[in-house]
Amino acid sequence: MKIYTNKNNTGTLKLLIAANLAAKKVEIVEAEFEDDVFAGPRQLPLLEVDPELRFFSSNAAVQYLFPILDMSENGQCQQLQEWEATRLQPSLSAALGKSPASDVKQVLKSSLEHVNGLLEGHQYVLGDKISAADISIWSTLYPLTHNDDLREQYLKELGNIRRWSDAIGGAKSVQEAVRQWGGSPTGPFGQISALGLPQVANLVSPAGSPDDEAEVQEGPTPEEIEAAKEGWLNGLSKLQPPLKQEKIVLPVKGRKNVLITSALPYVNNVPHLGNIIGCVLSADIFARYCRLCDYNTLYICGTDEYGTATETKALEEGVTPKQICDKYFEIHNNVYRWFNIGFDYFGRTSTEEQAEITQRLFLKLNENGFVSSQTVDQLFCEKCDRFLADRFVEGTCPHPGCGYEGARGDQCDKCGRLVNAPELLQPRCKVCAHPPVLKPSEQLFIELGQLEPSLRSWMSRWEHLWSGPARAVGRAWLREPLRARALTRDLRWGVPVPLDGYRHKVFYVWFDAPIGYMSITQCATKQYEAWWKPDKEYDVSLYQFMAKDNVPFHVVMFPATVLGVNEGHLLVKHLFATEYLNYEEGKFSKSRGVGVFGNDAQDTGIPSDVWRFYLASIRPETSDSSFSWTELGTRNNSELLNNLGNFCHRSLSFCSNAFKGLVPEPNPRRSDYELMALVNREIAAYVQNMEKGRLREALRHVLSISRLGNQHMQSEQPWVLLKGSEDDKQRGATAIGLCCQLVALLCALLAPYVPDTTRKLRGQLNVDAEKLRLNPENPRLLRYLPPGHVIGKPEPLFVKIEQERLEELRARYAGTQSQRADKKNSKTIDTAELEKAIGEQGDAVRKLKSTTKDKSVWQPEVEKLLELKKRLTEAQKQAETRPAANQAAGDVASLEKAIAEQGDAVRKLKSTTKDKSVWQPEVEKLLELKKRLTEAQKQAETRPATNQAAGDVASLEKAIAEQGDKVRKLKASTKDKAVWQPEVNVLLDLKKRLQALQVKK
Amino acid sequence: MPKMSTNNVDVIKMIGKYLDVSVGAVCYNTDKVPTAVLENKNVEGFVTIILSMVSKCGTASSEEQRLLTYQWLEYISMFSNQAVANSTFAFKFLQEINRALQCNTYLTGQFLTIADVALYYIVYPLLEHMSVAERDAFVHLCRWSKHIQAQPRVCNNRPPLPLNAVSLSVLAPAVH
Repeated sequence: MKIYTNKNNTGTLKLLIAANLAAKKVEIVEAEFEDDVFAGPRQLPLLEVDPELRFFSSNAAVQYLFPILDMSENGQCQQLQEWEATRLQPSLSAALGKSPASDVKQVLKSSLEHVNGLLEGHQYVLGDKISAADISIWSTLYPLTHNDDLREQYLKELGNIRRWSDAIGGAKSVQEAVRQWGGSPTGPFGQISALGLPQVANLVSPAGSPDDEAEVQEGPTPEEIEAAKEGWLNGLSKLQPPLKQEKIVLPVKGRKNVLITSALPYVNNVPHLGNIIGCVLSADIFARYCRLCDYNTLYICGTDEYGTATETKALEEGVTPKQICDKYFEIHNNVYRWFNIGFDYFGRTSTEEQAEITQRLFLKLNENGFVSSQTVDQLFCEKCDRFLADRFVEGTCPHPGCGYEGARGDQCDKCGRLVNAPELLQPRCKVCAHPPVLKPSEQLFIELGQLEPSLRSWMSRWEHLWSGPARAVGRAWLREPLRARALTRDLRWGVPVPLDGYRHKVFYVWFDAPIGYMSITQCATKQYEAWWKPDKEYDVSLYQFMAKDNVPFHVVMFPATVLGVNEGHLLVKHLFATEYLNYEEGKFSKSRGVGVFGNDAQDTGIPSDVWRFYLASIRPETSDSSFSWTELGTRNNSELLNNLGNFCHRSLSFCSNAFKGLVPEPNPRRSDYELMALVNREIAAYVQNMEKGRLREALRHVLSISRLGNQHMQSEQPWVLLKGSEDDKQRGATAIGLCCQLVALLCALLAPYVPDTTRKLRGQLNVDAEKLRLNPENPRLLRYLPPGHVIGKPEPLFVKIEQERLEELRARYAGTQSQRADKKNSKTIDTAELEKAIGEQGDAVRKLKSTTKDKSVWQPEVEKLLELKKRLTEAQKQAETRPAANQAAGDVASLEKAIAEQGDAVRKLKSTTKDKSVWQPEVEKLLELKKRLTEAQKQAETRPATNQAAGDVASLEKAIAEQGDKVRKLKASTKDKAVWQPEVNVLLDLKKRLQALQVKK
Repeated sequence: MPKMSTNNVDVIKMIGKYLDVSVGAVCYNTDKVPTAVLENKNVEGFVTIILSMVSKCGTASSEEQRLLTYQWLEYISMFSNQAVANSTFAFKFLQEINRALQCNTYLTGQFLTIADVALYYIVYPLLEHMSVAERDAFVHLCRWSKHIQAQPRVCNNRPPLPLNAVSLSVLAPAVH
């Protein structure tokens, strides 16, 4: 029989006592609610008699282990156990929790009196024989009966319970059970149900939520206080020697070497917030934490560039796949840079290194006999002379009742159903519109089935180090036998297959993308094998971050490849996968453009640190979570500003004002060491959670430290003490000194989350980053600021985000990206943009005409072109008749954009040809645009927005909001008043006019 | 019209009807624990009352079966009040149960027990108020509910839940 249990769960104590009394053998297995051991409700302990018979109720399990002999008492025993589960246990847990309501205590007291009454004149609760009810109640009361303070508080007058408790506790088999259990009566206690604590029915205030219960804690123990003192006095000298930062990071002997990867983002679109927290940001926070602990850390990532999606996109935009990749690589790179993602190297997979390593691994895999070939029927375009990937075929949807003519080879966009490419009716090549034919093509496959045994044994060895979602996905994959998987496909954009007969094919992107981690390491260090095939004497661990959807490639496909190659490559040790992040109760969607994207975050004017903090605090660690604008505001205002920001600013300001910046030398008393011991608990929890990749949990503990600091400040009231006696003054100085040290600690612990802010804070503290390190072996509060340290100038760290601003943002980012774009276009569409569209459409038509003579193919495009031209003529007419109205409305910006684009076009043209007749028209257009810009600027200056005088309140309000944004941005970027003053004046003027208008109305 | 939500006392009364056992007056005592008088004896607690009624019917079951039934009734007794009062909590509660029903025909395995009937009465109003799409998250629970309400005497005078739409939505997913 097995008992699955979490730590310090009094329910488990019940089971062990029952097993011991009945002389039954049980095995204890550690488990958490995220583990995959539950077939029913997730409750712990779980008694598994055999796979068919499991008890998730500890009371049922006790009855099973220790059956009641006297059946007449049956009903009573059960009644007491039910009472224990629904009343005694919940009220006890709530009463031992932090700040219990007085009515909870009252319920507990009356429950205890009930037990005491039952024991009146009896040896046990049901008479003179021990029963399952005794075991259940005794175990649940263990924290009360074995803690002197609580015993005094609750059981002083309940002599029967004390007698009964001591009698049972004195039995040898019970003592043996308590020893096996190994728990502590002071908590914190393991949660019993994944649903949290049951509510006690007649209470006014509900019992704590699961989170609160996890925090059931007692004051620090004498040992903890001693350790805190030791750490305070000597900790700094025991810190590990700092790691020397090399330019090229390679594994170091005798150090912990950490290789961190985040899933390679696919290159063909802009990452959204879900992608960012799922991989790059999580990995970055972790990497920064590792550096804080002096682990030798290499963090790499890059864009995943090969595959059909890129080729399709390139086709759509009429450029080469390489150009697409270049364009999106820049976009990704910029987004990540703005989010302060500190990659050691951000590479890409379309490199020579990638081809070389992929080909080498493949050849080895082939040599080892894990590659086979099969013939697959595929659509082939005779005109383009190539096999067509699913997305390169279009035709009529084969599903009855749909008949959509533009269905793709993998899915029909109209009915949403999956399509098998050869089943499309009237299929046509997406490139040339020629109907393809079905033709056999020989492809290579990897025999995953043969690799399954080694994969299984590897997985069972390491999966306990993975996050819950990662483990669950891995196990689900291995539930069914693995099948051979195609390695190659008939495409051009990819790594060529280095095998005769297949040389015109490329590798499937799933095969080569994870190898990107190796090739990017190679690009970063030139010695990728130092990391990926480390010497035995080096301690190298691989940590991989990703969202759930990427897990199969990292726990099945890639490890299988590496195991098949069998050259001792590094396999993932810690796999930290997240669940999904939703957007305001919907889903983020890259393809449909729903949600907030990397570049949008930048446009909101909210600092990247706030984004990082908020995303980390909603990281979908154990279940899906949701992004919400309101919550973003609340977290910023209540946690960053009120909790953290306030504590730091108050502490440093006190130091600055009362001590001229000289950090007072603390003279800690016992109460101060108690505070340090409590802080040390949080630091320990921070480190523990970080090491397990639970970044959201870790962050919660940092905030607890700042909360403790605030409480300390509040209770010591240094502002009063500093005006008191000598002794008081000393105490006040100690409080300030200690708070400053806590600020330094917070600055260290927060550095992984909010790098910009902590840089600022370090400036205010006047310390270098290398001073603020952490000892992961023995994490505790150190005296980061040496005696005689003088701090810099304290300044507020965070800014409040107003509710209206959030509403505005929510409205701005509602709907899909294209809807937003439409909204914008319909307002600002101008001749320049139309001209650009016409140019593009013209190009498209020319290209089409050159590839085919089939009029039916290009006619629609030509018609589109004509339509555009017509609209241009109209727009120009309008622009001429009322030029001021059109342009003073702030078209300066769009003109500037058009000029920049036109300038690019001209430069490009000039670089490709010397034929003046080709580029002259474009140059003229450019000159014309510039002229118009000058005019527009003049108008905008001389009569700011006169056209709006006729406008209504709404448009004025909008203009004010926009102008306000502009001013805020300007002020944030520069302190030069001359720069922003004119804009401020415009804003003030707008406001005045709005007021006037409102008065009139 | 049936009542919108079901508390534990309601469930006990409905089970009395289902078992055809007279429960007399069932009420909450001062501690809000359901209390009934069975054979002139005061019986307290949701689980205890239901199990006493079952034993009064004289249905024999193995000790194991009895304990499995007990643990489910205890689970319901611990959390059903909260599930009825709070829809977010109800969602989690139903998820736990849905998981349990993934591999089992009934809560305790292969046999119908009184725990199934009791839970069905708790779940009825919760499922009733869900849209077809929301029910999709609880396919096993819905399958089980359909099965339970097909048992004789379970429904009393309440109409069975219209659960067919669920399977329909699985076979013919909505257009995206």
